[in-house]
Amino acid sequence: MIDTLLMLDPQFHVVAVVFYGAATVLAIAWVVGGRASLASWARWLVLAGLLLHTFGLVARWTAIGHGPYVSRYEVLSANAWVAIVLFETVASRLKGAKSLAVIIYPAALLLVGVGLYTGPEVELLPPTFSGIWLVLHVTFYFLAFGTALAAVGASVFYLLKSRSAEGSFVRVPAPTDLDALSYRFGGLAFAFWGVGMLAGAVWAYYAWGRFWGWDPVETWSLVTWLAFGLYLHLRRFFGWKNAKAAYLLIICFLLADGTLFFTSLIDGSLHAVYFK
Amino acid sequence: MFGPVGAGDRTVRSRLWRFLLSRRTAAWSLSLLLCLTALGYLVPRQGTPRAERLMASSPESATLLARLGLDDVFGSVIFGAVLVLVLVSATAAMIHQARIVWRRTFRTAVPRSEYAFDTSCPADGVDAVLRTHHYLRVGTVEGHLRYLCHPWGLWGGLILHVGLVVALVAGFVALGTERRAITDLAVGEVYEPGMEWAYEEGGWLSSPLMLDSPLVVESVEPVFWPTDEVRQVTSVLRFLGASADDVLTIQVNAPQRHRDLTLYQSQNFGHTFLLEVAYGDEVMRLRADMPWPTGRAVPSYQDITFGDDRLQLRYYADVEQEGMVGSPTIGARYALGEERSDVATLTIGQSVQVGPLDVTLVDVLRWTRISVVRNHGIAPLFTGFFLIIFGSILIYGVVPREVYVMEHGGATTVTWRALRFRENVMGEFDDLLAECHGRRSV
Repeated sequence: MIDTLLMLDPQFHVVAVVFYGAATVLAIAWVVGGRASLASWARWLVLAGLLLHTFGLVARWTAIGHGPYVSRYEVLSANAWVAIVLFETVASRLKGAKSLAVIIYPAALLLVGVGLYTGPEVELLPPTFSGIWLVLHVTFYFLAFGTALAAVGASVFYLLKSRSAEGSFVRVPAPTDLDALSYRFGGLAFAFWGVGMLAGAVWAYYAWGRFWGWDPVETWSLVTWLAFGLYLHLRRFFGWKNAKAAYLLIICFLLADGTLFFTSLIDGSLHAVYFK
Repeated sequence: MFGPVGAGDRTVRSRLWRFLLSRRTAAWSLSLLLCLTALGYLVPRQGTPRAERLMASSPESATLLARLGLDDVFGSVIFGAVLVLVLVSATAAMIHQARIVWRRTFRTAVPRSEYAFDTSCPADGVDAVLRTHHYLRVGTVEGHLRYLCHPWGLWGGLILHVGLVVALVAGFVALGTERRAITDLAVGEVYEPGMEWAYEEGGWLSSPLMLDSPLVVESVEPVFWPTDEVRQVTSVLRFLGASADDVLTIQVNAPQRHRDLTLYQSQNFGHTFLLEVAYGDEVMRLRADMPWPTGRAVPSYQDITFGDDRLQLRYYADVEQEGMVGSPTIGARYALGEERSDVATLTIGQSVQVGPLDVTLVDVLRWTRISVVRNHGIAPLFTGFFLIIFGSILIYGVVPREVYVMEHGGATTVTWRALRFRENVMGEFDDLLAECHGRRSV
């Protein structure tokens, strides 16, 4: 049974990648001016991919007995899953958010694809990997990544839309709407990142007897959080908006990517033990 | 003693207030904090392997960095000063925010909003429509009925700043008063209060960490995965002379409290080999706390030196190398320069000759590392963080809106305003316009 589930897991992921790829193509076609039904088809394809992706994650969880937060394959897959779920939940509720599918869908494809490339080998839980604080820690970082991805998507679209000729990207909302979207998603990313960091500190307290150790991941996580804080402060009190704010948000997102996916590979980091 | 405040004092005070509330002060202190944190990572910190490597490869650079105080940025006066500036500035901003929020929530004027319409629908009808959009009626302003949707969104900024102040104050208290110590204990060994710790550190306000009664480790039980990786370590500790309730079972990630102390199970554990070594006429009792091997066929090593002579020890978790828990075995050999004797395997009570040494294995015990921590201010610290996050969610996740309604001459005027992120909620004005059958005011 366990072997069957472990065999099915990457296959579900591969098929999900195919669906996400197809949805990406349709979403791009819609955004550049295609028929309205293309967006609907893209959404159905991504939901089908999400269902398969969910089957893959559940199969793996059932087989190995822990959530998707130990190996790089699991973390990337869970990041993609949360980003899609978050996007599909808020896209219909926020004006103009639907067009961000062009950023979210390929990002999910890339994350699952890279995860598959790193290999779905099972890593056993070390004794420190337990408890609700660990679950909260990783869940909120997944949410922070998802919201930051939506924010950077809005910023990238803002830059494209404001520089392109009249009549192009007709499905993309007005630049002012995109600017506001990126501000709000950036603010939520700041909040979720903060919760992730806080929960991580409590987890570290139980696991290692200290809240904060200036570990490379901890330090860069704080730098990223401060950078998002500075972005929000500049927007709120210095009136930063439009292209200037969009570029700063892209820098914050790159910083977040570096913190999430690369600092854990640095020698001397507690996280390196699990992700190298 | 305190006379009336003069004009000069008022100017200084108002200048200081303006400086603390200045958006530039906040932006600069945030930027400085960000740069110092990044610098703190980039320059190797004192006492870390990176700093040791730098000292070995470039002692001049390491000395220069130490002289500039860059080898401990997070413990530096500058870092502390920036944190204090953030704290004072955040406190001023918190007071300022409280005034703004109070005014916005309870004392307000009818806005001159471009989003207004007239309708023949009476105020009661508009009221019913607004209620379906989750608006609350909060009073009357200048003859207009006032409605608010998500009024708590107005309080996000204040809550965020309160959280910032609470977290910073609690952080200072926690940093200043925390005390941590480590001891390595073998099963049955007693740690007496006042004995030196293997390692101890603490904040500038902390006093030395002292146990109230002797501590003994009763057992150490590691559990391994089939791949030989550690799955869990459980230790049973007893505080001697205390009640039976002071028997604590600790695990990795599951510490226990004893009075104001928290005791943590470390992932450092292994076997203690008690040896008697006869070297010429001299007989020495030696103790080797060796880390548990990382695999059943992977030994742990330790060298014991006496001048130029070395006793080299090799330890397997199981003599048969068939599991991670079994009969631990130790091999010993003598080394002098490049010369090495053959390895002799020892069992308890057995004596072997290795080179000029006569080695007897007296006993084998399990040992483990215990961390003991005393800290204060942690609950307020996390409350502060929670408030920062809650405030942020209220600011960025919730858009407060207000509507003013006034009946006049058989018509009703409805004025709508979003207090932020208007672009994302403008659809609501169009919905209200349609549902009230209104006509846009010019």
